[in-house]
Amino acid sequence: MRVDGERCKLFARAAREARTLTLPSPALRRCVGEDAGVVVAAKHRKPTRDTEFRCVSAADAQLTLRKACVSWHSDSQDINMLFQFANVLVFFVLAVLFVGGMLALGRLVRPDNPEHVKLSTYECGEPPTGNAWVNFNIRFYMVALIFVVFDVEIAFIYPVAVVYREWVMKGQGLLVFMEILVFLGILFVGLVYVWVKGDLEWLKRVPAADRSEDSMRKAA
Amino acid sequence: MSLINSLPGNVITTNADAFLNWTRKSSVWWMLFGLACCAIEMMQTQGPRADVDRFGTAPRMSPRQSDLMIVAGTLTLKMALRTRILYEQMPEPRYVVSMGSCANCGGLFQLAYSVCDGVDKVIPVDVYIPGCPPRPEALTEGILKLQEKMMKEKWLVRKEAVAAA
Repeated sequence: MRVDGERCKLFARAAREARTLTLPSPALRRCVGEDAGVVVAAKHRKPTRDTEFRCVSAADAQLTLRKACVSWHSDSQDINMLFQFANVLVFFVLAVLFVGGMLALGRLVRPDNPEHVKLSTYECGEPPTGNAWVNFNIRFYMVALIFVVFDVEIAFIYPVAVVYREWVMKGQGLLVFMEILVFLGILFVGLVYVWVKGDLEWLKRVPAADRSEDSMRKAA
Repeated sequence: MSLINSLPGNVITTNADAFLNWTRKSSVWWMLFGLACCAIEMMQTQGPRADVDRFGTAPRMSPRQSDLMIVAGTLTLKMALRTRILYEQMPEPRYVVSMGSCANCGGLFQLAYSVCDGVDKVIPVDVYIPGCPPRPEALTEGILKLQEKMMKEKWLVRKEAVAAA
């Protein structure tokens, strides 16, 4: 059947003005105007003033019926996004169940005979002496701090790398490159400072002034 | 319609005890307790030629992480004290393998003043491996015998019931 352009437009205008599209049909056929083969491709559940109407032939209407109606009835963009979130949720739930199940299974088949010597502190067979809390070397803190700073810098560079190609296509690649170089340069100054201060050395030297004969004699 | 002779050849049936024991014997992590020359043979057993790692074993350095303690070498009286404490600090299920003559009975040094004649004077032993020192193959056979012993354990049944039978 040929699409009747004029009737289609009239039909669409009437539906738009009436704000509801009432057709004598079950839910699936609600999208299809029986005469003109109008398939409503709409973003909202009910046609409103902003609803877009597309006119297709009746034969094509059958093909696109399901797609259009699903999109009309179910807000396609939102549902896809919700399914992606559900994906992550299922993953998370399965991970929690898996770990919990392993721990529970271990608890079931494990022997449990606590004794005094068994629970005592391990010190290679000797009775434990002294305090277990020793002084923490400050070098670990320095290394961790420097790592965090540069790791965050890497995290900031990743999005730039991802969209860089688009900028190059638009002809502004050099601008983006200079901007990211400025960012790197600022952090590079920090790296140079840390380097000169000697925080990147694992083995630290005693400064020469203190290494005098007197102090060595006193230490001996 | 019966289950008898119905499952295909690649389906394994078992009971709970056998399954548990199979999992335990397939990953015997032992504590490195090399005291003397038998330790060299123990090292070679873990080496590439007589690889004992293929049975699922792994050497651990702490009693807290091990199922098995291989006493390899002469046990002096001084060490016997520590051996007792270390055995107590191993979590169950735990086993002991006494490797070599010195650990079995004092061996060559029985008459010495400082030697404890055999490790079974301080801790209960499951498998004795004779030799001075036992070859890696002998130690491997000892581990396999221990695995056989592990398969016979009954963990899920209460001990009084077994004694009454």
